[in-house]
Amino acid sequence: MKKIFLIGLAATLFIACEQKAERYSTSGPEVDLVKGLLADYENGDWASWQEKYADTAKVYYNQWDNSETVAESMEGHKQNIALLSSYKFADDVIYEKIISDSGNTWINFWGRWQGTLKENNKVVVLPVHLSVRVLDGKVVQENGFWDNSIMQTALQEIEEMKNAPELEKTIIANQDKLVKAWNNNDADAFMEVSAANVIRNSNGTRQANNQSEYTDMMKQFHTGFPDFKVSLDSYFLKAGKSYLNWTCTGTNTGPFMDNPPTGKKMEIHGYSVWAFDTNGLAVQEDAFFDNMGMLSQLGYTLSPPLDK
Amino acid sequence: MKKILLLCLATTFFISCKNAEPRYFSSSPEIDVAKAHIKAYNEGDWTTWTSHYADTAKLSHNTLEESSPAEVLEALKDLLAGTSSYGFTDKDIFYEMVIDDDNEKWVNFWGTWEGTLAANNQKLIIPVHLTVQYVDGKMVEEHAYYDLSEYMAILLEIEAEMIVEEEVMEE
Repeated sequence: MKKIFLIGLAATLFIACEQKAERYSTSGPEVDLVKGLLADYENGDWASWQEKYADTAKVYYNQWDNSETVAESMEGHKQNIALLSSYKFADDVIYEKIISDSGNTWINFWGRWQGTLKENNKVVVLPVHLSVRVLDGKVVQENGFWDNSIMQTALQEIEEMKNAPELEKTIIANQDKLVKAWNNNDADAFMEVSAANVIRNSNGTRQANNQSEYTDMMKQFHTGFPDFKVSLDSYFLKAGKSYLNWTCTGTNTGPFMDNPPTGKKMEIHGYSVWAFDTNGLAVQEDAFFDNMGMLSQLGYTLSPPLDK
Repeated sequence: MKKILLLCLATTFFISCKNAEPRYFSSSPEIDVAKAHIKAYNEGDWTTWTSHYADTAKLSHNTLEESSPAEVLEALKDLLAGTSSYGFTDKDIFYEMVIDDDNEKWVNFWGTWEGTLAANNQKLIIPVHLTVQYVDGKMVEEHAYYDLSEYMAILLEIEAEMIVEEEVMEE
């Protein structure tokens, strides 16, 4: 009898314990479901995406009162995605599962959405929060919170550019081609949109005096960082010059500036002023960035000067 | 012997259960601070509002950039300057606190912001989500998610109307 009592006690405590612990967790089938939902969204696998919702699911994006159906939400996503050349959530996302006081299971998600606009290659970054209620393995409600005005402003810029005079349009188009040439290490593409005697100054020091010196420098980056990528974060044009912020990323798996590969990743943010001629060809770049910061990320250290 | 084994088992469960401290709360001292914070915001009591933050608090509203409470306060005041009334309503308002895997206390808030724009008396409703880390009862990190597109669109409209009016006056 006592034995049964003890077993009963242990079982009760175990169950009570389990229930208590389960109100918050960061894993489990419901979390996996929402992870799958976002993976489907990123892969554009709408059939699989739609399957994860209950038929009667309600979707609320930036509002409480008027819900959308899953089909309507999908249409909205597709329309937005049509404007983009790529989109994804950055890797540093957070998921949590909670059970509310009313016993409902919610998956909360915090992430950083990033999309590149087709028209001008501009990268738009949106912090996003989703709160998703899951019941019997399906999403029954989704609430999304993010600032749409960021995207609207970016789209307005495109509209303004469309109304820009011819030369500005050419400069914008050529600027995009320069970014593509950098990303693809494409010397021919670079030469198409630059003047023969194109100049590059890095932090005030002359680095290239012509197309071949410029493309050699591009090649040097791609040799050191085979996955080298540059994105245009923002820019504005004035009097034939583009003032632009950029971000470079890459993994140093090849020799760089006569140094062996470090295997380390780098991400640097820089600023360039590009000057264009009256035909819209690039004639000069003045680039500014934290060279020491880049080298530090690769593991290089600065030594104090030696004593005399 | 069996009895001892069972007792040990029961004790183990009991201890492990003790260890499984609750990690989800719908009330807590931190949630009380969050409620007081919303109240201070509604009343425009910026001294109290500021006092809830640690001096080194980092705030990110709809961005990855981090700002100080004073910087965010300036931005909020700018946004609110165009309203004749504003505040979080009692409807659709939820608070919860979790203790995450890093043992950090985060208060999550979902609410409804309602405001009226002074220029044209237009009412705006904006759902807001805040997730805030607390240390020693103070807010040390805050991430806010809310859609300003409608607000911006109205401001642009008002601006456009003003330009037209100016042009008419000049004529």
